This record gives sequence, structure tokens and C-alpha cells, in this order.
Amino acid sequence: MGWRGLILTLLGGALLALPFVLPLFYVLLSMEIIILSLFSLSLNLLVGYTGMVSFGHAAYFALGAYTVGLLVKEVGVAMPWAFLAAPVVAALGAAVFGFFCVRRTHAYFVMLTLAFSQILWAITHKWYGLTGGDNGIIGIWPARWIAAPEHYYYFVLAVAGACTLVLWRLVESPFGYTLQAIRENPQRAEFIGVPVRRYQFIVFVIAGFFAGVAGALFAYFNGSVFPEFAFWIKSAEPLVAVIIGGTYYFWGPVAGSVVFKLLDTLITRYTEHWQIVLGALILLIVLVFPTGVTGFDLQKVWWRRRWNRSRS
Amino acid sequence: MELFLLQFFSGLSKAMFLFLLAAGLSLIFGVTRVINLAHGSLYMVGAYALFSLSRVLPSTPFQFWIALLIAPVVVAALGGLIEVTLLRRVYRSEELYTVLLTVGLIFLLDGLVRLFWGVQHFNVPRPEALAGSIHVLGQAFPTYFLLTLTLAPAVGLGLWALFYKTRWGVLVRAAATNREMVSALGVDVPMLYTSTFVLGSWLAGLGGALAAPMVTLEPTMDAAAIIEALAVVVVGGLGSFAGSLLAAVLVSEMESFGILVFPAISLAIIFILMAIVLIVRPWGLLGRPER
Amino acid sequence: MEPQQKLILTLDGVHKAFGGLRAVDGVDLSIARRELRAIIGPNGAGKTTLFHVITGHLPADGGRIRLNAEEIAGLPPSKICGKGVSRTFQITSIFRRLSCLQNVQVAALAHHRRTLEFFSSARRQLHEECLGLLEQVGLQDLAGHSGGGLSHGDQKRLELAIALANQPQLLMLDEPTAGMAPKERSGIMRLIETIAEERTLTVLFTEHDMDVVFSTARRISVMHQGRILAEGKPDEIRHNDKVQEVYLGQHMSLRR
Repeated sequence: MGWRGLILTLLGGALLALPFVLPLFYVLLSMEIIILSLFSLSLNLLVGYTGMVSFGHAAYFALGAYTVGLLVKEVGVAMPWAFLAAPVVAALGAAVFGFFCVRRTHAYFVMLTLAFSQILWAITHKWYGLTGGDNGIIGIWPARWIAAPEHYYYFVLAVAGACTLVLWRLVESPFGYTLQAIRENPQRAEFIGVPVRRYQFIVFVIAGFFAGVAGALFAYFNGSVFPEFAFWIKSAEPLVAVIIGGTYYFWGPVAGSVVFKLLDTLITRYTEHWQIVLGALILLIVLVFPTGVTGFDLQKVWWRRRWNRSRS
Repeated sequence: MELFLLQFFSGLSKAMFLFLLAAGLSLIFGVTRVINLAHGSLYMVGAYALFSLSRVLPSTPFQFWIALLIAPVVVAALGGLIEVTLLRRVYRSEELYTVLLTVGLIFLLDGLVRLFWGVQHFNVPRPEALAGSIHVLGQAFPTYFLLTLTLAPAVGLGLWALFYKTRWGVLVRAAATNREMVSALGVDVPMLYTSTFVLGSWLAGLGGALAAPMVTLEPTMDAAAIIEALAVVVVGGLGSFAGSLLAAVLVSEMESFGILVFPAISLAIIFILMAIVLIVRPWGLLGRPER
Repeated sequence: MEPQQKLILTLDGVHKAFGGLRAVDGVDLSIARRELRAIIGPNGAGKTTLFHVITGHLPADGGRIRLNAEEIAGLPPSKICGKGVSRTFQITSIFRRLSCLQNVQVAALAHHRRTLEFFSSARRQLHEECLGLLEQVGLQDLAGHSGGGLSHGDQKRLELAIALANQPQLLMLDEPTAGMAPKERSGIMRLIETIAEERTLTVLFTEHDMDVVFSTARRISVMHQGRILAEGKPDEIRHNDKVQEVYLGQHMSLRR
């Protein structure tokens, strides 16, 4: 199976056993980490694989969350349907916004994704009639059979796991290779016959879809949705997770999400000033370890091997 | 009529803060090509600096003015430190790293503000000379408006003079369009970049210090500020001061009157405008298209 | 056979201006199948702009560009590539962080129109074909190396392999020996000739190295200030007065 398969199995086992071993607090924390991981993996499709730095990815997270919120509260839709509708709505939103965004590059792309996300925030913030404004929508409960945290945990794990598998297949596919080519050299990609803009649009929609899944998962987890889900600070979360974990490896965003959430949650127990720690960490990574946690680890292993080889 | 005047002038006053903030941001982007997302945090530091200075300085009639003089300088120094130690290393990197560097700075500066000043809200009293209100055409306006409505345009004029009438200004404008050429001419480009960032930070600090007596100070005030400044910069045109002023006034007045006419849209207007400009005319109203 | 069918690429009155500068100023060009045509000219003559216009990188301001009697002016590069045109760039353009094999794989996948496959694993796909391409340019031992880690000369070979993955009819090479040591230059030109022969390709290339041009090209077009100044076999060009005039003072010896 190889050591990589072994690690994955152990990890999988640990995740499955978690609710039996750890207290509720950690079960809840784990769910947040898993949801953020999915959100970050979806963003990394854009950032790490295609080279598109989106600063408005929260828009699709929010669309997913609000679809659930509105369908559950306004229309009384049952969980399976609301849950299935959420990523579709998010993908539609990504299609509309993405159409315009992919026509811009670099700084303009960043700012346009940001602008769209802020528009969504402003709408949810002000449209009291539909969205409840900054009071948000509350009282969103999962179906009774998975309403208990431990049960919902397995639901989150299953959904996120399935999505991760899909994303893994995607990045290893010809389409995934093409995205990386686009990231490396859009001009060259164009000249081997790839309609670059069209593919950027496609991946933008796919990324939006999975962000919507994360948003839906979070809506039921949180029990409520708020306009802040679309605010630019929410877009910064997966971006920070992605850079901490490393953009060039598939599991980077997961590692980064773990680090980010642990900092956010556990550090606050010891100090109020977790922001200083987080800020310093980000600066450290950007300036010293741009390949992130996963990249750093691999470099360490490589160096050790070289060292050992030179001694023998 | 009275309501119209009140909305108009309060919108104008807000536009002035926004202009100072946007001008600095636009300047930094125009020259270094970096979107300084931490600009709102610099603005916040300026406001808090004024607050602290108003507590620490001896209580004389000149206290406010001295504080107003010192606070932006503090922020400018902070900006210089940031540029030299951190920003310099990512100029040649991809967008991702410059974006994340400034995001990291936001967290750091936010955390530091919380560390030094805590999380409670503060209010800065207006200086006695400007504390009351004046009556114009039957409507009462805060006297403080006189300061904002004269100081900001004065600064704008100063900037114009700086960039069009001094050697430094000419070099900065040249570096903005063609860095390699300027470097080849023997100009110290890194110093140019640093001084640009310092000036931009000074403007942010001034904006914050000037706004301090008019707003509530809290550690989250940077979040809204940066977004609005960014929108104004985009709409007005990157690298154009006149554009920043025009867009600041446009946006603030639209918000001011939007609240009366169509409150639901008022918050979204600024971003809708930003999106439209980016889609249709990315270089903004008064900017120039790049190659 | 009609004369038209022998021509793979024809340009009629193509022009392209940047502001006031007419980089390409009414160019007529006809390239026959299996030709090895060089386009030479002093710096600023418009050679690279002409390439950009033909491959769709820049839109032409006017004129007709026909590939096999089909109009291609105005088409985007990806479409023109799909019609059998490949090119390399003056500044080597590859996928730096991908391995050599992956570099070629992506190009091959694009050629076979498999880039929208979402769920199959790309790792082993078109393996034979891609290794074959790497072998043809002499890079089969470096298949696992990252593109960016190669030497300059090897990167140029990789770019050639990428261009060939498209199974082109017309190969356009923008300064294929730029930045190479003199020894390497003849090596890569011999390689190009061999490949052109084996794959029945037409090759259109720009060059500054006159040795390369005169030893490889079967026909030469000389560009000057956006126009074709002269065209003909290497000997004809060598003795052409107008061409001599243009190159005088350019330290380019046409007499060998």
C-alpha cells in the first residue's frame, strides 16, 4: 500500500473514531475544521491549480448557506433537497460572477471577485424582507436523524470526504493537468490549443459549487446564517489556510485549515492576541516558507535524505 | 431643502476622509503595483494615535492641532518600517504573496491595536474651536466640517504640487510607468518605493486622525474603511488623485442620498459601481489604460 | 496539382500597427508545403509581430491570412493551433513547474481533445506518445525533471517537443537558437531538419544567426520596416543588393 496509503488509513480511522474518544468540544471543532478544509480545497482549485487568486470566494459559501437558510425557513424544505439545492445555487452564482471575473487578470481579477462578494454581502445585509438583514436567519436544524452533533459529524465527514475524492480525481485528470498548465503559462496553454478563458470559467464554477457545499454544511452546523458569511474577511480564511498549508499540494489546504482553526480556537484560550500570532505566522510563511507547511515538510525530508546519502 | 443640504455636506465631509485614504492607496498601487489591503489598518492606527495623543499631550488649546500633526507622522514611520522590512521582499512575487502579506499585516496590526488599546469603544472629543455647530441657510452643521472640507482639498493641492512640480514627484510618476527605465537612469528605485509607501501611509494616518473626532474608535473600524477605499480607488482610477477625489465625492453622495431614496441599495451601491467599472473600464474614470 | 494546393500558408497585404508605428506594413507571403523558410531582417523589422499576427496572438489590422486556403485571420490562438499550426517563442515558453513528461502530456492531451476529461487519471495517459516525443528531441532521460530545472538548450528542446505534440503541419519557430552556444545551434537545427523530414512538416522560422539561416533554409524572406524586401533561394539573397544595403553596418556577414 505504501506509506502514503498507511497514513491516510490511520488518519481515516482516527477521524471515524473521533466522537467516541474526544469530548463534544473537539467534535464541534473537528466539524469546523472539516468544513473549512472543503472550503479551502475548493479555493485551491483556483489559487493553487489554476493560478487565479480569488478574494471573493466567500460569496459562494454564503450562497450555499443562504440557500439552505431560505429554503428551510421560508419554504420549509426538507434537508436533503435544501442541501442539494445549495451548491447548485452557488454554482449558478459563480457562473454569473465568473463570466465577468475571468475577463480580467491579476489585480483586476482579485478586486472584481472582491467586489462581487461585497455586493452579495450588502444585499444580504440590507434586504431585511428576504434575508433578515444583519439578524440573519436562525433556527436551521438538520434532519432529526442527524441532528445530534455526533451524528451530524459523520454526515459532515461523509459529504466532505466524498467531495474531497471528487476533487482529487479532478486534479489528477487531464482537466487538472490543463489547469496547472494554465497556471504555469497561460500564453503557452493558449498555443497548445487550450481556450484558457473558457477553462478558467469552468473551474471557477466548479470551485463555487464546492464552496456552496461547504456553506450548506456550515449552515446546518451553525444553526444560523449571517451576512458576514459573504464579507471579505470570510474570503480571507480559506486564502490564509491555503497559504499556510501550501498551494502546490492537494492536501495543503487541509493542513492549513487545521493549523488555522487550532490557532483560532485553542490559542484564544491562552491569549487574547491570537491575531498577532496568526498575522506573524502568515508573514513568516509568505516571506520565509512560501511553500507552506506541506512544502516545508517535504523539503526537510529531502534534505535529510541527501544528508544521509552523503554520509554513507 | 435643509435635509438635502445636510445630506450633501455630510456626504462631502465623509468624501474627504475617503479621498485621503484612497489617494494613499491609489498612490501605492500606482507605483508599486501592490494592493495594500492593510491601508485601512493604517487609517485605524492614525485614529487611535490621535486618541492617545489627545490623552497624553498637555491640555492646551493647541493640543488637537499638535496631535493632528503628529499622528500621521507616526503612521508614516510605521509605513516606512513595514515597507523596508516586509513589503520589499514580495515586489517581484506573484499576486498571491502580496495579497497575503497585506492580509497578514491586517491581522498583525489589528492584534496590536487590541493589545495596546483593548476592545472597548472610544470617542475623541472635538477641539473646542470646532466643537459646536454653525448655521448655514437655516440648517445646522457640525463646525468640524469646516476643517475636513478645507484640509483635505488643501492636501490634495499639495499632492498635485508635489507630483507635478518637484523632482521627486516626476521620478515617482516615471517609475510608475516604467520602473526599468528609471532604474537604468541611476535613480534609487527602492528609495522611491519606500518614500511612496511612507507618503501613502501618512495620508492614511491623516485620514484616520481627521476622522477620529467624527467616528467611534473600535478595533474593527479598518474592515469597512479598506473596502470603501478600494472601491473608490477602482472607480476613480488607479494612480489618479483627481479620480480618487471625484470618485470619493461620487460614492459618498450616492450613499448619502441613497439612504434617503432607496436604503436597501445604499450599501451595495459602492460595490456595484466598483464591479461595473472593473467590467467596463478597469482603469477607472480618470485613470489611463495600461498596455 | 493546382498551385494553390501546394501552398500551406498565404498572406495577402497583412498589416498591423501600434499607434503610429506600422510594425507589419503590407506583407505578402506564400509558403509551400514542406518548405524550410527563414524570415530574416534587422531588429525591429517586424518578424516577431508577424509571427504573433499569424498565430492569432495579435489581431491583424487588415489583410488575409490563409492556412490551406482557409481564412484564419481573427481566430484565437487556440483555434489556429487546432488547425495544425505550432510555434515556439523567442523567450522559451514552457510549463516550468511541471515535469518534462507532463509538459508534453498536456500538449498531447490538448491535441487529442481530451482536456475536458474530469475523472480519468492523466498520469499514464498518452505515455508512449509523449515519451516518443521526448525521445525525438533527446530528452527521454529527463522525463521526470521539472521543466524549469533544465538547461537553456534543453528547455528549447522541450518547447520543440511541446510544439510537435500538436502533430502540426506548420511549425513556426521564433529564433530557435537564441541564447544557445554556437555548438548547440547546429545541433538543434539538424534536429529540426530531421524532424521536418520525418514528419513532413513545413517550417517557418526567424533567426539572427546567419550561419544557421544559410545552412538550413531552402528559401529566405527578408523583412525590413514591416515589409518583405526580398525573397528567394539563399544564394539569390546573398547576392541581392538591396539586402546587402540593409545589413551593411549591422555586423552581419552575408558572404561566407
